[in-house]
Amino acid sequence: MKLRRTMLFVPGNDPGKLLNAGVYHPDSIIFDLEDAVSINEKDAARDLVKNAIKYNEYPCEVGVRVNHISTPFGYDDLEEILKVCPDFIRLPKSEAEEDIVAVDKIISQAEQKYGYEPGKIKMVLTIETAKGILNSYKLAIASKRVVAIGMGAEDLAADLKATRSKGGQEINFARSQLLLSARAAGVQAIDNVFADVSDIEGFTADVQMGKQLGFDGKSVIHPKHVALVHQIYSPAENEIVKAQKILLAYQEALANKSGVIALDGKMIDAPIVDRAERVLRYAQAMGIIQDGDGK
Amino acid sequence: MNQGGMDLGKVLRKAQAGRVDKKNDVLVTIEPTEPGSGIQIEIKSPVIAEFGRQIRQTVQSVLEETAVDDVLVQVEDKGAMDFAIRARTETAIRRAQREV
Amino acid sequence: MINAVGRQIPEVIGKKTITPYQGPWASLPSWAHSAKSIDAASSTKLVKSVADVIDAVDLRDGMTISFHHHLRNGDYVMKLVIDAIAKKGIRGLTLAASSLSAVQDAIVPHIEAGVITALDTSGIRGEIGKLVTDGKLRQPVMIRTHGGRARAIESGELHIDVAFIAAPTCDMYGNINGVDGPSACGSMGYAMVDAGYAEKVVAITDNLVPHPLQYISIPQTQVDFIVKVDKIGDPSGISTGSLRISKDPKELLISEYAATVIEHSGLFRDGFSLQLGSGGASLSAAHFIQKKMKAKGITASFGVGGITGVFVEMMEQGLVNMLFDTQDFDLPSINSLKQNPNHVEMTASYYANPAAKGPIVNQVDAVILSATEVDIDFNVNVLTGSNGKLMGAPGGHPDTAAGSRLSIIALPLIRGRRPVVREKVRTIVTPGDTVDVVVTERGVAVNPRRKDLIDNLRGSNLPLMSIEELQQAAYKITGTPDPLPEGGEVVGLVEYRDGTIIDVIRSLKG
Repeated sequence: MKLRRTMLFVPGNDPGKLLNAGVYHPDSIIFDLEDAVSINEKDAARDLVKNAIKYNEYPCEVGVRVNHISTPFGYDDLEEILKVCPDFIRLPKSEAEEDIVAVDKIISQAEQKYGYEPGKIKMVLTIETAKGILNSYKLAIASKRVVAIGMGAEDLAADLKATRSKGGQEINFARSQLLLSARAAGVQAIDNVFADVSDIEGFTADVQMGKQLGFDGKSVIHPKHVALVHQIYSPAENEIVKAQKILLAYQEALANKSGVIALDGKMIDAPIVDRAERVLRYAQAMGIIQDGDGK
Repeated sequence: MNQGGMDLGKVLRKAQAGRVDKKNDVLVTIEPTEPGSGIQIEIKSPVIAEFGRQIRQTVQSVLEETAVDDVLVQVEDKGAMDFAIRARTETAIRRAQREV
Repeated sequence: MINAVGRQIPEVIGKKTITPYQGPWASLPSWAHSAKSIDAASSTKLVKSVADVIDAVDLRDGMTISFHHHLRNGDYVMKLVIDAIAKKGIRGLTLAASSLSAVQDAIVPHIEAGVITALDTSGIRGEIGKLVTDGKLRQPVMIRTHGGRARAIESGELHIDVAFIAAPTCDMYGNINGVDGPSACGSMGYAMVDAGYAEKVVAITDNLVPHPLQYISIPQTQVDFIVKVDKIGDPSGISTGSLRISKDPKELLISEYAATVIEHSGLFRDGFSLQLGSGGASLSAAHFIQKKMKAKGITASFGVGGITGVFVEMMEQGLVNMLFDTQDFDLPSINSLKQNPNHVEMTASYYANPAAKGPIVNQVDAVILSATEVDIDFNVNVLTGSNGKLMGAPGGHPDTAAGSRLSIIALPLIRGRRPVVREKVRTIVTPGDTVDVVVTERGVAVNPRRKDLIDNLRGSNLPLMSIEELQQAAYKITGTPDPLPEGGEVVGLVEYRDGTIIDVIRSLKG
């Protein structure tokens, strides 16, 4: 599975920012046609993002956050953007399964029309309402294209009638619910944006909490956050050593055709092996270990 | 080839896209001219000597792809790359083709 | 003839025979040491007006007058003096300035009228630059490095008849400093050389104080006359309040890469030494270097500059033991020079003169510099735009690149739509042989000459690539620029620090 430690939002109507988004080396770039673009520039941003994807080279996957299909812009966004085969579409305000299915269908038609490999274009969902959170598991499995789900914390907090705080306790339940749904559905869980760009301490604490809960990565809105998130998601040396031991034991068990995996006299189950593999993927992405180490 | 996917049509009115107060952006203004007057492109750019020819070519090719003729296009460039010049031209054309 | 960086250089300009550049460390000729003639001081040094002092020094047609640029874009003195000279009908002067800021565009009429007919400077831009590239000067402008200018003055190659020194504070017997007074600028490093070698030295001050001054930059033994005027400068143009670290994420990324290069260079150990320019990327690199120094628990033995508050802050935190200072850019650095005994004023010669018995640049481990453009031979232009317009200053760039153990050029790969890493730079100011690393937001290129560095940087996670790859990446984004006109006759000579000619400036038509 592709790593998505950071998904960097880039305002869709700013040519300089679109040009330079890749230099910060996030795992994913999201060109934003939604909240970052004013109503009367929606058409311009759409054309700009389309051309940026078509003509620029980016060192990572590139997706587009389109406007919701219930707005006057959603369908036009999809029509234009799908012409240039983005890696994924990020859907805001995901709440109803039928919306996911509808977008899936539009993508399928585009894949056929332009001759892309079927299923190539993925979907990432942003859930921003109480209904959406409660429905998140079903949303995540509504289309095979969905590879990750995330949360729009500001809108959700408003929907919950909560007061936003730095610590974010008011969205704790939703955050955990989202993670639970993602794991149950077998998709990635992307932690929400931390809005105060100047508060590096608060941001760091928020990322650490997300990592501890089990999130795969975080949506960020400022390039300077990218390296910081990667650093925090980087496994500690003892984690890496332990993961390598677990995988070694697993490989030995496979070689011996033994149904039981054991390490230091303790039984190891499949989820633990999965988690160990994930630890090594994060370590590789940081360049801490080379591809193939411990495998 | 028309992968830009613009609707072919006539430029009905003067329209603009882009801005001049941002680095790497460009303001493209398009307006209809007398039938038969063809395409006129005027360019202001800090990199006119090194990239003026390429800017003109980019604008020209968007106009051709969309079969737009008899227009005056004014390009006020702030160091935009081709992808942005292309996009702003496309948006300006689209806006100029829209009924008010 | 073609010099060692492949540039076509005329053999003779006027009556002057040109020595072409032969390599950064080609055997330096030995120079005679010049000295000013000795004459006793007048009974009183204080003269009533600028007009009177021009008579007192017996300024005549064809002489060379000098000015310093410590008041940067706030300087009033150059215009004041040349206005007065013009009124007296004196003509055909050579203006030898340590640099020409944009504010000096005010003297353009005097150049057009023939009061000034030749320029000798370490920086040139704006309207004066345009005048030069329009071919309006009778002889080519001479452009020198800070160290090269000191060498030329000390050897007598650049003979100054009268140095007019803007003095932020001056006492009744001619002791000068730059740290006090309403137009304080800090270090007087560039003016110190002029004061030591000019035939006549005139202090022009708006802060005349009783003798003796406590803090002395230029001593009374070198000063012939003093003139008091209302104002020598505009403080807002002289220094900024406090330079802030950039918030531009691209610039921060470039400076972080530059700091990472130093960290892994093999030079980053206790007691290393550092020079930072005043450019944005260089300044914000200080922020990352500080962090890395703290993490590793090391301190620097000294810092060199062009000093800014960022450097002062590092000294005050105990991260840098000493600062050597030729010029200050902001108020915190001016105050520090005045108050902190570990913050030392130095002359341009001590800073960068290749003919001195050891300028401080030779002891610098790592330096971070900016540029207008770089080419695939690592040659650097800091003087002209790619279109050939004069818009910058060699300053100490070639001096410190040659002297230091690690010279890093930190700059964005693209400015506007201009590729900054190119096949060829318009004007070579700093030769590629003295440049070790080029750092951009999209990649870091190490000079292949520095195999040791390439090895050291391999484990750093930096996006290493060849300089050609970097140039191609730039062209891929911007498109390949159409060739620009080569320019016409030679209107400027770019002197390397050793006195040879490394490149020329040509006139621009139309």
